[in-house]
Amino acid sequence: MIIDFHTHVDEVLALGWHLAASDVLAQMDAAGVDQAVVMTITDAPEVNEDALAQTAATCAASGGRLHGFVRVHPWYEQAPELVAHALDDLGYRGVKLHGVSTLADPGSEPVLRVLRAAAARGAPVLFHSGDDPFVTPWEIAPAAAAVPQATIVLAHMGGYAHTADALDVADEFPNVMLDTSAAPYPSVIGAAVRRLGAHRVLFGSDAPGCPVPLELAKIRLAGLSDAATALVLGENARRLLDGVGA
Amino acid sequence: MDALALLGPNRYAPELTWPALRDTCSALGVDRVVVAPPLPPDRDLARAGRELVSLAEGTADGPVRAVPLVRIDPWEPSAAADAAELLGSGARGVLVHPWEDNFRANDVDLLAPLLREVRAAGATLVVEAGFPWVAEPAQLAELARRFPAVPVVATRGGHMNMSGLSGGAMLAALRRADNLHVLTSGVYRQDWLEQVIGAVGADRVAYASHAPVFDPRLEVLRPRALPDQAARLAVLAATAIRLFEW
Repeated sequence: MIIDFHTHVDEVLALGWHLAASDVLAQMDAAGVDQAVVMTITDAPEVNEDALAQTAATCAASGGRLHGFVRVHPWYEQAPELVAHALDDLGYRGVKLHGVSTLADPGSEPVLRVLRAAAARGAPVLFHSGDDPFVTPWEIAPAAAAVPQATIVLAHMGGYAHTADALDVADEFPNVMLDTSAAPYPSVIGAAVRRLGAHRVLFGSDAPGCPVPLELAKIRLAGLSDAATALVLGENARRLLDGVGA
Repeated sequence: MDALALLGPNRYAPELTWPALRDTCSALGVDRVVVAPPLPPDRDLARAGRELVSLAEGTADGPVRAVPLVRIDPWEPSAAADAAELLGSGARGVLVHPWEDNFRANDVDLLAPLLREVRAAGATLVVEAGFPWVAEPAQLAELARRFPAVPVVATRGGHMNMSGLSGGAMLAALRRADNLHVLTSGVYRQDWLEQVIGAVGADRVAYASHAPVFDPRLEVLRPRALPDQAARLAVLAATAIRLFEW
């Protein structure tokens, strides 16, 4: 089974964004991907007050193929409650945090209380990570240290210039994993598996902007063993998703 | 045609040799590759350029033909003279690296002597782009605008930003300067490539692997995934032929 750990579904009329679930599913079908994690582009409760319900409905209608991660803005007082509601009542399977859109310092209390809410439910927290302020790996590291019971996933394997940092952070903090979505260098995927172990790396695409077939090809180019490939492509994601609420 | 690979001894990374590059090109169905020297360990770019021009001459009858660029550090007192010599010896353009050589891409005063030689030779300027503060989209547009008779080519899509923040700026730059082009190397958003092609035309976009920085096996998949056949042909060959094989 192949599970894409990083895709987007959202409708933001003000920005002209139409990221339809059908587009993501079509890309998944083209690539032979069975299931995917989906999240919005906006941070609840901003912009779209119906985002949580809409994504939940999208996932419910997918026949089990799509799993929602709730993307929240930590600065809002109700952020932990939104996370709890999403995970407890709406079927979400994880949390997404994006420091560039929220300007939330990963080590700050607003973020940590979201992590604690997620960790209490066994839900992983996916951080956008890359080369910008608030999202570099070592800026996210304090969050991993402060909430060691939280499973933290750094998306994009450190972006263009922070891949070494991403591997270093994951090496130091056992509760940190990496997702391969949009990562520019297949060789870094191989390096991560060799250094951290295949159980710490997750396949993701960042679809629909980054087509699932191309992102999947990256995994094939990383030089992984069959066993490692199976872990990266789906077994790790399955383990995380099944652990929610357990 | 691969519009850029870095060939030869590299001060900062392992060397890519001609046999390795040739074999990779052959395996991928690439029969022409534009090659430029990275900064060599002894920093002698003029010598590296002469050697590359000589190597390229030797590939003329082979299955894969190298098209040489020379790299110039505009701070060198001999920058313009070196460019004139090497462009007269068969180099098809000049590569500059604002990040490694510590200058702004739009430092017109610094670059003017060099750009005069490039223009006189009817050659093309390639800029290692996407680096913060020195080779940002707006700076690239300003450079191109100030030298309208010179084709200016930005590597890496002109931007490197895993948060997707600079794609709009680079599209605006392309709209602003008709002589500005981009290479596909390292662009992680397939939808951005399609957006650029739709907005300014496929004749402003050329495929480049940027080996060994990026993996040609992955990079070639992006232009090949373009849905429009005419665009694919332009990006995979025609644009680069026009820019580098005058």
